[in-house]
Amino acid sequence: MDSGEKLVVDFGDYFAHKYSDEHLVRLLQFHKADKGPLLYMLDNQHGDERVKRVFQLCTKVWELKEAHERRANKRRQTRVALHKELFAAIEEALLLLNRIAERETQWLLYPLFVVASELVREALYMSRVLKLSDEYVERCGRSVHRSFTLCLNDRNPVRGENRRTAVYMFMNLEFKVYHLLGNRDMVKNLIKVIKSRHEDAADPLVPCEQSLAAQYPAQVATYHYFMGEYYGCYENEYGPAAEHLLLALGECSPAQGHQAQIARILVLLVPFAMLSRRAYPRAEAIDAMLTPPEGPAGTTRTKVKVKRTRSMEMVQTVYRAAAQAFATGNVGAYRALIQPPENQMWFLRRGVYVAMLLLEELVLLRRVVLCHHYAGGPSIVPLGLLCAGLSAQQMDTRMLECALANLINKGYIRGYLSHGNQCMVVSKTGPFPPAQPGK
Amino acid sequence: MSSTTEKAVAMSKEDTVSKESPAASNRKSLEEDDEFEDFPADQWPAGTSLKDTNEFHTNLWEESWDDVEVDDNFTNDLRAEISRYKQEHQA
Repeated sequence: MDSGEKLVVDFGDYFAHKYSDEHLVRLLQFHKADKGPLLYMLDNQHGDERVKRVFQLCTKVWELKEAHERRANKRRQTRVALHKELFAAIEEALLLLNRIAERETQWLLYPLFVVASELVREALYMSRVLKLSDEYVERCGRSVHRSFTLCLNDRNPVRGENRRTAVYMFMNLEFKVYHLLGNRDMVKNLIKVIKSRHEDAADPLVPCEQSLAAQYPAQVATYHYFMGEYYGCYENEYGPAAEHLLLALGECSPAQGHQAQIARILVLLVPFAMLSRRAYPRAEAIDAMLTPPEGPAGTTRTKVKVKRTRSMEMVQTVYRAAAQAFATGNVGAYRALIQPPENQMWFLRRGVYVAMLLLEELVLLRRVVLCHHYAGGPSIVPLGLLCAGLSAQQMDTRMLECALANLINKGYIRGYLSHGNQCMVVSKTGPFPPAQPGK
Repeated sequence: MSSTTEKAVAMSKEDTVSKESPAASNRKSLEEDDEFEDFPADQWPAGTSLKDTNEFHTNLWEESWDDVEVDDNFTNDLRAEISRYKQEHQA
């Protein structure tokens, strides 16, 4: 029978014939309101006890959810008990599927990933909404890590069977868990392992775009988002960070209502690109990406519902003004943006505080470039001239000398300061080297 | 807690609310997105991603660093300041 016409689905059939389809995935997507119109059963003749138990657990999860929906009493105590039961059932299902997957090839990887995602979702709910201890998140992390390692360590030489193809998808789940735990070291270790496998000369790990994740743009975007965050926020390597974040952005679709994800990517991409490429996204381009799509013309359908988030607001106000200050070298305006404590707190929470501080140097550099240009491009630039250009920026000659010394030291200006003559001597050819985006 | 203290606390709360700036209350109405939210689905129709549009590749970035002919009030003031400095120091 064609899979699209199924009324009854035999769970054991997937394991007996080693395939998966949308009906199997639907059964495992526990976060959805229901499991759809199909009836799921398991042939009594099915011999594998682990498969039987997984099916029982899936049935239990759906029954628990339905029973809870029918209950009038939904006090916190009841909800906590329900979610503990749900977590335990999904966790056991994932452990069993991990064991089954160790002997299987690629067909089981996506269903395994779906169950692991459900466990992460449940742990996130218990931690963030129910405010339970981190115990569940930690347990979830251990189970997901087993899925990750059973993929990573597969040595099957047949590429079409090797489970390593799903490594990036489980890596994404681990990223989420470690963020929830606030554990940066675990993120670093995870990336170190993947990097070493990329560099394995004998059997290198394929890039994300050639793995199973390539079939799921959400997974490619998530992978590049977290990699960009790692390089930019943990390692201060803004060039690679911007490259990853741009790849993440490219996968998003404004028409599908991805505005929240786009805003989070832009929160990191904008300052990192300004630092590494000295470029920033056009305001109109940002507005277009963050505007929810309209319903089809001539219909009464409303726009896709998109919540307005703080990231969207900051990108469209503070970042826009920062880009303007960056373009004109307006140090005073830039400082006014980064100094308010509520903005600083937000930069810190988003991991861009250091980048925003470093950007102030580039705003000043832009100012120096413009002063130099308007003065006719002399090779000897009096400090007084630069000071005149910066008079409104509350910067005296001494402060300016320090700031210029810093810019010269960092290679932004080719030249030297002559303190005795109160001037800066710059190279006649290329006094302001262009950005090196790789850094 | 005595009723006087309760009143004082209530009044101080009212003060805080009334002193709250429009910007602050606007911030409160926004959703704090602490996590990178899951996408609503793992897949979406091919050709609808940003990378599939020309705009994304050609019109996303403002790369104005080498462009020194900026025309805005702030830069025009700078231009005037520099020429004033040059005139003063040549005289």
